[in-house]
Amino acid sequence: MPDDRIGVFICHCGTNINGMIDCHKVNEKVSQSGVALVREHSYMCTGGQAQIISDIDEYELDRVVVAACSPRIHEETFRSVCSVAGINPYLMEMVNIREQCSWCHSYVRDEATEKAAELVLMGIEKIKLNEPLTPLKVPMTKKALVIGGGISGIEASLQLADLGHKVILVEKGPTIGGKMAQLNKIFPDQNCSP
Amino acid sequence: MVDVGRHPNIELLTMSEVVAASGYIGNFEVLLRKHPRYITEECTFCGECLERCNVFTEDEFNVGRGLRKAIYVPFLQSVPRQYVIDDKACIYFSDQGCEKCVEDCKKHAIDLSQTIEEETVHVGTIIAATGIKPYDPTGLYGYGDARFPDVITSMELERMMSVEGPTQGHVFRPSTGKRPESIAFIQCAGSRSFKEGQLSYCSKLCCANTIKNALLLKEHFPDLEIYVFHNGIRTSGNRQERMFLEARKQGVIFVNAFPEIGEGHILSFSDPILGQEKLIEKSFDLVTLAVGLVPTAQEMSSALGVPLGKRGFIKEDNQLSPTATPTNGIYIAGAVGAPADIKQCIEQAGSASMQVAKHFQKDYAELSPVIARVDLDKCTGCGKCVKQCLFGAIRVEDKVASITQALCRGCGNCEDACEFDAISIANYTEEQMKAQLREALREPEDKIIVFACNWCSYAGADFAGTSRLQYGANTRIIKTMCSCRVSVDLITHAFALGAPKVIVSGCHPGDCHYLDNNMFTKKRVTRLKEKLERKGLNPDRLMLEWVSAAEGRRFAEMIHRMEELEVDESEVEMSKMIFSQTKKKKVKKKMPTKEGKGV
Repeated sequence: MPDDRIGVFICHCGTNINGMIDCHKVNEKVSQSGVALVREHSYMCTGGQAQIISDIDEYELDRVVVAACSPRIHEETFRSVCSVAGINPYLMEMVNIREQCSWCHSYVRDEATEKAAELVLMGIEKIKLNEPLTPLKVPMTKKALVIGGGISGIEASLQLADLGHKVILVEKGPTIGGKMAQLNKIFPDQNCSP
Repeated sequence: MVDVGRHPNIELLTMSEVVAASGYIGNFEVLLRKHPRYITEECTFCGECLERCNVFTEDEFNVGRGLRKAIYVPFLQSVPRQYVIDDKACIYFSDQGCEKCVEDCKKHAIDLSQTIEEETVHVGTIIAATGIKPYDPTGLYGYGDARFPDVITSMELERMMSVEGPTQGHVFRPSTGKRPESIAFIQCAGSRSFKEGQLSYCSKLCCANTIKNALLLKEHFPDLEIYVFHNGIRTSGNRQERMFLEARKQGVIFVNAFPEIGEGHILSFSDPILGQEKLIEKSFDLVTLAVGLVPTAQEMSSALGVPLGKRGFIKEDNQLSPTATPTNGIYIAGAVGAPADIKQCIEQAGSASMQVAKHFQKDYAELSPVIARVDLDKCTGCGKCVKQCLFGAIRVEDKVASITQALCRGCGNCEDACEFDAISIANYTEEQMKAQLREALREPEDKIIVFACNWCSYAGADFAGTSRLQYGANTRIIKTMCSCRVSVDLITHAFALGAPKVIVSGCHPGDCHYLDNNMFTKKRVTRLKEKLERKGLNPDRLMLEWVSAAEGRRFAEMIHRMEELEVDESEVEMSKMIFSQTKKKKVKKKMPTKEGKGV
């Protein structure tokens, strides 16, 4: 997709990434891949957010690669940054150059730098083929079915009902109470069965 | 309990069971079967009918210790406060024409013509809380044998000790009707055993329950001799250990031994201190078997389509969501998932209802769009993907596969099944995975390609980094949602591009976030390893490893092991050649169009 304008954002994470990886070199290598913009920032997740938003606008980016920490930490952050800037959040891809690169190849700067650049290039290849997606919305029937009228079913029904929700409580037997009703007293405090 | 009966937001349906459920979060349709109670809403609980009924039967609420009538309430505080007629016991139903209760009911609240009814309800979410039942120890320690009338279960003791029970709270020997002077409790009766028909697991609450009863008995009868035979007392958690210490202080004797029963309720056991040779025999007036808890979830599991674990309890989605099931919108609470005491049941009910309430905050449910899609031009409707989908999200309709989007979890297991490349996960398409491989293997050299699943292995790799564990920078990790997404095609593509080594890693068996989909991964990788061997290649170049999110060390060690493997250039060249020649995906044959037929 030659018309794509991809922006790559490389995070230094203070020295967490830049300390072990030469981010400028990564920048240089990635710049040759034909992307519209490569931007570095010391903390992409904080100050960098505004930078991403203004760059998306200024450079008319339509896809974003963020090379930073693990997506398990900040994927949602950068997805919402993209939403704010008017890009579909699924057109953002994170590349993990901290947990899976700088932190585990801390003493081999050249190799780690090379790996980071390659990971970013892999991310670029993937993002080119990403599709804009919208979370599926299905209508919610605000009524819960609770199956079983023992202590768990009773408690769950009451909690929901007290919150104002409609509950259908289904019990196989003629009464609720379950096994708990058969108990004389309950441990550890020898209270009467509720 | 009473609160449930009078809560305006709760519709209580007793005598009812779930037959089947369909749909998805926000929109479940559940078929209920209502059994007749034969009593109408007019019942005022006056008790006239109870007086007139002369038919007696075994009282299941008191575990068979006592009788009740054919028209009855299980116990005085029953909710709803209505009588019920047991149509198996009532002689009206066995054609003897007795209608005494009907004649006497001034409110005309008895209707013997009621029949089974079915009703479909529409709900947004479901909480399954069907609990457990006690283990039936018939045959163990002479239970159920007329020669040993004084062997009872913990639940029978429980009923005996209840003031409302069949003996009004008096504990007696069933054989003589007299108060026992010595009681033995046998823990783990039928539990923690690999014998057939017995429970392999610990039911968690029997130890504390026995101690509770021992303490109550000691409170009433300080002279009563109480022995507890156990296989290691398990009293974890708040205050339970204190109960155990208190019981010992009160003179309850705990013996770590497996006794055997003989005539006259004599238990023989080897002394744990003096050793196996020294057998002790002791006669007890009453023997109580502390039985474990048995799952009862089978029927509901098939009705709701939520899977059972190996032991027959409902399988939790994953250990960090213990009250969620793999089906979005269906939750579990209490012992339906695993043995649980009252406190845990209440905690889990809170957790499950909180998740339901969270859904009810919005008018819609939002689901991840990273799910499977079908390319209608390529799909032939062969249905192979349908069998691969453990979530029941794929059907074949009008000769093409169709995805129920709300049921699809996006694991990607269907991708491998499709010979026509017609099904793919959004943003994890075959093309995208291969594009990443191409970039990673531009200079393959000594690279290690690691496919890591999103939930466990990728997180495990993250943890290795967080722990600053060092491994080779020649690794290229590619994330998939589930390891089952790693198709045979993808692995061979990596080899075709010159990858010397490939690792496929996923969650440990039983921990997969997509039911047991990682077992498909295992099958695929094992098969491919065999193929490598057949082709004269070193099968160790392909590794399958389970790494959990907490196993950073295991992840790093896995890479180290792979690093040690020597792969020479000719071997790489050979696999490159072999796998570049693998057959292309099948292409759907063009169907003649309707116009062509001249319709």
